[in-house]
Parts: sequence; C-alpha cells; structure tokens
Amino acid sequence: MKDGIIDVTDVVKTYGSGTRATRALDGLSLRIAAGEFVSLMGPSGSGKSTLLNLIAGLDVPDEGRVVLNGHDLGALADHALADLRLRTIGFVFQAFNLIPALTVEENVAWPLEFSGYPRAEVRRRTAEALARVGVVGRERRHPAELSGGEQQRVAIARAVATGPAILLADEPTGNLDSHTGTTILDLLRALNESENVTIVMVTHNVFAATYGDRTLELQDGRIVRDVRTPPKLHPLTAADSETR
Amino acid sequence: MRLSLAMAYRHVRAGFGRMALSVLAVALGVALVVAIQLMNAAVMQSFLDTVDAVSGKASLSISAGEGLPFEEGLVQRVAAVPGVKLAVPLVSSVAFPDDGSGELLTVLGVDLGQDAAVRLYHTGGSASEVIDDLVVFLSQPDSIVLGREFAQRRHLDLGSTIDLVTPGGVKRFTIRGLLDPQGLARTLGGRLVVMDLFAAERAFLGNEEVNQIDVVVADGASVEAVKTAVAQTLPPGLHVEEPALRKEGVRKTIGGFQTMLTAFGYLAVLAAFVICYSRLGAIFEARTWEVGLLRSVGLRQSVVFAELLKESLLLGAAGTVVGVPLGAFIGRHGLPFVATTTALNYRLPVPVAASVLSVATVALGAAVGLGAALLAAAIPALRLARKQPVAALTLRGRDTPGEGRARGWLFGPALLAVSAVLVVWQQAARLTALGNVTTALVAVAACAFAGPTVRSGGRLLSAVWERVFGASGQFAIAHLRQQARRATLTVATLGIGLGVVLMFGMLSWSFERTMIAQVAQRLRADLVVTSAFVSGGYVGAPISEAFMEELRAVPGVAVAAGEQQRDVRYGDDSVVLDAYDAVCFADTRVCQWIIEGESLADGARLVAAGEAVFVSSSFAHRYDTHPGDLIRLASPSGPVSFRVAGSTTGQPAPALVMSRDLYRKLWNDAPVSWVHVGVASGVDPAAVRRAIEERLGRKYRLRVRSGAELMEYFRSQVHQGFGFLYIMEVITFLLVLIAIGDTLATGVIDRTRELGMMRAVGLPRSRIFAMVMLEGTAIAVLGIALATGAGLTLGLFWVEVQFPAILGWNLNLHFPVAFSLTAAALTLALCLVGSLLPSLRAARLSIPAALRNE
Repeated sequence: MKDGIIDVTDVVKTYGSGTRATRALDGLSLRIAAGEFVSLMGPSGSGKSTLLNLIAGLDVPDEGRVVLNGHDLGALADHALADLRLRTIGFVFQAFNLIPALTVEENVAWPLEFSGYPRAEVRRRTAEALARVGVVGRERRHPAELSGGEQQRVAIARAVATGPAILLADEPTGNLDSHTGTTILDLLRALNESENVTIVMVTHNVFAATYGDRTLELQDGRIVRDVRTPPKLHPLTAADSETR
Repeated sequence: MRLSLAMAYRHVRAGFGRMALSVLAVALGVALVVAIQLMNAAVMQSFLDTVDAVSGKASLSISAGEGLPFEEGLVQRVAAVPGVKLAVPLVSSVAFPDDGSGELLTVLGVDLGQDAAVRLYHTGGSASEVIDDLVVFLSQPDSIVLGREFAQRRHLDLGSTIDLVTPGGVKRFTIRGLLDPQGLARTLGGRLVVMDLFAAERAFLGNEEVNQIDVVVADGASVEAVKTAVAQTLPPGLHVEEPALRKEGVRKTIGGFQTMLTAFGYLAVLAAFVICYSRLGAIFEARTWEVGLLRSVGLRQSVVFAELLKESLLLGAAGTVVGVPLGAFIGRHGLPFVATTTALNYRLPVPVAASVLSVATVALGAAVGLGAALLAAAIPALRLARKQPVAALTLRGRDTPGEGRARGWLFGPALLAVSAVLVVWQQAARLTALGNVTTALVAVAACAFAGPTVRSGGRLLSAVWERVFGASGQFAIAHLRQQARRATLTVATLGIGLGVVLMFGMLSWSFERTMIAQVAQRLRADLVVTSAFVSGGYVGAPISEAFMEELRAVPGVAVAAGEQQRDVRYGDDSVVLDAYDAVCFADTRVCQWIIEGESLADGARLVAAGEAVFVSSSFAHRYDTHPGDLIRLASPSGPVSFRVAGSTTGQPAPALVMSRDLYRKLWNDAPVSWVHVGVASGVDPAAVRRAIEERLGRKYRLRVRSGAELMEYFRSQVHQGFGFLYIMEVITFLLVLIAIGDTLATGVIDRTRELGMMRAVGLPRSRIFAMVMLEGTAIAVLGIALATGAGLTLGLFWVEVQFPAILGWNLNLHFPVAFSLTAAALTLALCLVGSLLPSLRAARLSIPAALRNE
C-alpha cells in the first residue's frame, strides 16, 4: 500500500459554543493516497466543505491532525501553510473566483508570479495550463467576457499552473449546466490520470461523484460510506471503451 | 409601494460603521465653517464694539486721523454750532504696564469734572461713582481709573501705584478708581485707563491738545444737518463723521481677510463633500442588487432616488449634530489665534473677543451639513435609480468598462478656461469677490482632473510598481485601476486638501520672502531701535521724538534716522504713509532705496527735501502710478498733493515713502516707531547696542535689534500672521486620513472574497498586507501629483491676483520647497497610517469566512 499523501486522523471541528455549538466534524479519519480522485458527498451541513478547508490548511481542527505530504498542518506557521498551498495545492471553487480586473492570462499567471518563477517561465506555464484546459485564443479577455464553463476552465488552469500534487475542488460544477459540468469533470479526470494529481472534490451530484476512484459519504461529521468506483463506471473511461 | 424614512434609518443603522467616516468628514467640514463663522463674527464684533465704546453715545466724532492731536480750543467753536447739545474733548492713546507682559492698555482722557461728559462713556453715571475722592483725583496728575478685571489680575487695588510706559517714557500712576466690567472696560477686558483730560494731555499729547471731540446732537436736530454745520467750522485736515460710518470702514478693512478664511472653510466642505460622495457611492453600489429587485418589483426611479436621498439626509444630520459643537469648540479655542492674525495683518491692537453660538450660525452649519450630504448623494443615487433593473440584478454595482471616461479631460480644461476669463474680468473690474469664485472653480477643476490622473497616472505607476515591488505592486495598481472611480474621489480629496495647504504655503512663503527681500534691500542700519511694546500688529509703540537727540548723543552712534508709519485713506483703499528722516535718503549706512524703472532726476534728494515722494512698487502697480504723477491725499492740514519721484521695492505694502519733516508738518505727528542707527566706522555695533540699552533702555523701555534680528522678527510676525494655516493643515490632514482609510477599507470589504481566494491559493498574509499598503501608497502618490498641480495653480492665482486684490501687496512668486516636501511627506505618512488598518484587516481575514462572503 503506497503512503497516503493526505492523512486525516480523529479530526473534530465545532462551530459556535454552548447550546449553539455545531459539530461539523466528529472524530473523522481518512487517508487518501497519491493520485487518488476522491469525491466527497453528503447533505448540507454534513462537513464536506469543512473537511476540504482543513485539508487545505484554511481552517484548524479542534482535535486531531491533518498531515499533507508528511507535513502536520497544525505544526506549520501561517507563512509555511501559505507556501504549501501555493506550491502543493490547487483550489477550484464553485463560484470560479477569478479576479475581474485581470485578463484570463493574468488570472492564471499571478500565482506563478507570486511563486517567484522567472517571467519567461510564467508565460510558458500559463500558456501550457490554458492549452491543457482548452482555453486558447481568449487569453486577453476578461472573466466577464467568458461563459461559466470557460471561467471554470480558467480557474482550473490557475489551480494547476503551479503543478500542484493535490487539487481541491469545492463543487466545481455547482454553478454550471449539466453539459458544461460534464466537460469540467472530464477535464479533472484527465488531469488526475495524466498528471497523477490527487483530487478531492466536494459534490452534491451522484453522477459527478462517479468520476472519482472513491466516493466518501459524510453525515453529521462522520464518514458513513466509503465506496470504490469500478474503473468501468468512470464516465470518461466508459466513453473511451465505447469509442474503442 | 412607498418606503418610509424608517427603512432609510435601518440602512443607516446597519451600515453605521461604514458611514461613520462620512459623518466625521461632514462634521469636520461643518465644524470648520461654523468655527470660522464664529471667529470672524466675534473678531469683527469686538473691533466694532471698540469703535462703539470709544465713541460712547456720541452721534458725531471729530478727529484729524487715528490718534493725531489738534488744539483743544476747537471744542468751544464746535459747541457753539446750532444743534450741538454737547461737545466733549477726548485724549485717546495707548500705554503698557512696565512688567514685560506687553499688554496694551487703552488710555482715555476725559473731563471728569463734567458729569455730562462722563455719562457719555460710562453707563454707571457720574465720575464720583467710581472715584472715592474726586477732588484728590483731579488735583493729582498721576491719578488714574483702572479696569477692575485688569487690576484684579495684578492684585492692584485703590491707592496702588502702577508704572506705565508712555511715548514719553516710563511714568508712575496712582489708582484712585476702579471700573467695573461694563461698556468699554468690558470690551477691552479691563485693559482701560481713564484719566482726567488735563493730565492725559500732558502725559500723552501736548498742552491743550486733544485727538478727538465727540458731539451729542440736540433732541430733534438732524444729525446730517449738524454734521454739515460742524464740518464748515473745522479747519482743514479735521473731519467729522458718524461712528456708524467708522464701523463701516472697519468692516470693509477686515472683511477682505475674513472672506479669505471663509473661502478656506468652504474648500474644506468641498473635500468633505468628495469623501461623502465616495462613501455614499460605495454604499449605494453595494445595494445595487437590492435596488434592482425593488425596481423589478415595480418601484419608480423617483421613489428609489428619494429613498436613497433620505439616507444622506440622516448622514448630514448626524454630521451636523457632531459638527456644530465641534465648530463651537474650535471657534472658542481658535479665536485668540484669528484675533492675533487679524490684528497683525491690519496693525491693530489684538481685541478681546468672545464667540457666541447664535441660531444663525447653527442654521448655517445645518445648511452646510445637510446640503453637502444631499448633493453628495444626488449623483450616485440618480445613477443607481436610473440603472436598468436587469443590469442592476446582474452587474451588482460593478462598473461597466469605459464608464465615465474622458469627462475629466473635458471638464477640467473647461473650468480652467472659465477661471482664466474670471481672472481677466477681476483684473479689469477690480472685483475681489470674483477671486473666490475663481478659487472654487480651480478646486472643482482639480476634482475633474482626478479621474485622468488616476487613469493616466495608474498606467505610469503600473510599470514602476511592478518593477519595484513585483507582483504585489502589480496587483495593487490593478485594483486601483479596477476601482478607478473610488480611487478618483480619494485622489480628488487629496488634490483639494493638500492643494489648498500648498496654496497657502506658497502664499505665506512668497509673502515672507518678498517682505524679507525688500526690507533687507532697504535696511542698511547696523541697529534698529524700537519700543519694547507693540501698539498694533507688528508696529512698535511710538516713542517721543525727544529721545532721538539722546540717542544721537550715545558714543559710537554715527547716524540715527527716525521712521514713522500711518495708514491713510487713498480713494476707497487704505495705504501706508512711511516717513523717514531726510538722512535716510542720502546716507546708505542706514537706508538704501532700490528704484524700479524710471524715476525723476535726483529723486532721492527731492524726497529728502519734501518736494516729492517715492511710491512702493505695490502702490505703483495697483494705481498705475508713474514718475511725475501727482498723488492727492487728505491730511490734517488739508488736502495735499505729492509728486511721485519713482517707485521703490523697499516697501512691500502699497505705500508712499516721504520725508518725516514733511509728514510731521502735515500730519502733526512727531513720535517715531523705528530708529535706524548707523555706527561710527571701526566701532563694534554690539558695544553701541549695549551703550544704548544702558543709557536709554530703562527710561524709554527700548528694544535694540541688529538688522538680522529685525529680519527674524518680521519673519516671526509673518508666521504668526499666517497662523491660521496650521488649523487648516490639521483639518486637511484629518480629511486626508479619513479619505484614504475609507477608500482602502471599502476596497478590502468589496474584495473580501477575492482576498480570501488569494489566501486560499497560497498568498501569505504579508503579501496581502503589502498589496493594500502599496495601493494606499499609489493613491497618495497620485494625490500628491494632483495636489501639486492644484496647489501651484491656486498659489499662482493667489500670489499674483487675489492677495494683491485683497491687501494690495505685490508679491514675488516663491515656491516653498521645504514646506511642500514636508507636507507631501506628511501626506504620504498619513496615507500609510490610513492604509494600515485596512491592510491589517485584509491580512487577517479568515479564509473560509472570506470565501463565503458575498
């Protein structure tokens, strides 16, 4: 068994206090291996997004620990956490979160610039990331001039441009129609398979969840089901086999 | 459906934190207007009260000009004029307690033996009510009645003696009566000395000489008819006037300066208006979606517009409620400052003034506060109300590309062009009030140029910031350009606020440099002797002419030239008569006259001989005077004409420079205010200075200064004269602090989600902090650039046009480099301070909470 690059152990997270306290995560443990594509499902308030935030180091657990690539996130200072996110983790949001003032190209390039890459390297990686997600010829446009699917592609390009080992996606298809959502899921799957990027994706959609190797179902802050998806059920794989 | 004021109130209450800065900005604007109004009114009233109190209940007043003596015997002739009920001779002068305090006492010599005369000035009635033993009082020439407040401050009582410095030297007086704080004694804060007429004549003028006759008109007689009849009995040089007209003169003289202060108050309101506009614009934009919804449901544009205006009314009301008491506080504590400044500018004694908050002032404050808030809300409210509902629902208030571009490039030059036309019109028509309109237009033009400054300057800064600060700098400028409208308003606030400070800095520096340069050119004396006391403004108290002979006898004194100054009317204006001893026009050891342009041959000799006068270059420019022209003036000896020998740069004010022999003869004024001393060759000036101080210093209470020290004295007086500049700077910098903090805080609030995303992607807190700080710095740089342009334009206008129009002084333009750099550095520092809290807030955002933010 290969080492899990995401290791969550006995994590407890409570919001509020006293009678108003809500336990978002209740002693949850989880191990995700490198290159896995894991879907997180569950009803609202089950703890999906909280778990994603803890994995990203955006929030701190009350109890338990989260280890990424051997780094205990609880032991890292803020700047080290930020550095880890910049270089190791890519984040894809439901609402895209592109910066309206910047062009498509600039939206992808800025994390690279902050990572300290030389200008030429920034240009090369930006072009490569945009090509990989299929946004070519629109580099000088602003986000407001793109469709929702195109905006999410740009967001994915931004997330993968730094070459992260882990991609965290919080309902990446939540704001898209089903056809556009499928193309985004295909893109994530392709990234997972071609680049061996570990993907953790929060979704409400059962169809979207089947893109993962595993689907974890959360309820009341605990994992109530851990289902492995047979390879032939992966929509992309299935489509490939049909083509073949 | 119609929304009520309650909804506006709920919005204001919910967003009070975000509106607090606007409330503060409005409050500061209101406070400054109220404070200036209070101070102006109090200072003006105090000067007018003094005129009133000195004239008592008299209907007419006869004099030869301020303080000039004439024969007492004239009283009998005036009393004999039909319709004159009472003619009362008066000696009016000044003295100083010999205790180094420099307090100025007004001295009145009245015939205390006549109850009718006393009742004219003293509301209490006869002299015996304030004097224990009138017989003793009248029999002793050292008797005085002193203001009780002044006496109490010095623990003096009846029978105490007090040494007073008079033009004839130090004299000892005995207090034989105390005046309660009523009438003139109250107006002067107890700094009043009343003497018997006979004693006052000897102590302050000459035997049987007075300097005022007050006339009471008989019941039923026409004041105008009596005035005409009295005027016909007067010898040339003496004139009769109604005290009310004298008050009008005071009002006119001080009015120009007060208009200048008022103009500044309204410029501060303009800055507050811009801050409100920015803040309300942001608040309204944040509710675009909500307004879109209301419009979609069916609300009319006018209803939405009215609802938004209601919020601004509440804001204006809150600003007024805070601003009026704040203004009263500033007015009360700034009053001595403005009173001193006014007195210095017009060479008047510093009045004792008290500010009283009237209903009219409160109404003015409310009108300014509510008006500024309403006007500031009108444009953003209209813009929002007119937005199509669908656009409002989808755009959520974001600017559409290209919105509002290029307007500044049209408005700015157009306003400047109109300003230029106004300047030409002002010069041609001599309408000083137009200058204030021009000032306002230039300030508005600065606002109009703020947009282009942000757009063009942002492009320029983009490359610099990226090169110097890397990606953080690039982001800072990108956001600044994205939020161009908000940045524009902050840059406009900086442009106006700092621009006005630069303008006054330029004015004060030009004034100081011009005065110092011109006086330094003329002043060649090794030593300058004056009274240790100041009678009005920067002018020393007059010293008896007899002192000049004693001074010339001091070993080492080679030459001593007396100088006396007096304000005289020339047309509708007030000009300076500057009289020097003849030696001053011949001996370059004491004076050197630089003549500008052409002059009469042997002009200095003609002036020394009293056959011509020099005019100052300010006078020559103002009245278009040339060598050989005749200048006509009214003098106590009747109308006189002077031939102009040439114009000199040696006197910065609009002035006539003449021989003191001629002046003394025409104006009957012998004392001197300055004596210029040249020491004998090879003698140490310091030794001569010590000798003068030892021999005459105690007797006449003198101050001896070297030329350099006199320059330093003038410099300090200029600084005091522009003392109100510091109040303005404080208010301006507060407004700057509010504006920059407000803009960046709004930017951070608007970008909460974006910043959360950046943190989620991996940016450390320090980068986020740096980004916001760099944005603040960029705004400061652009604001300083605009302020430099606005300040230079306004400064140029005030130095070259408006200041000469108000005070008549022709100034040379000087740019205050050190002052400007300090002000710019202070602005930059304040911008950084203002950026600090928003930057920290941005850096400390909780990432999950920020990402959830809508």
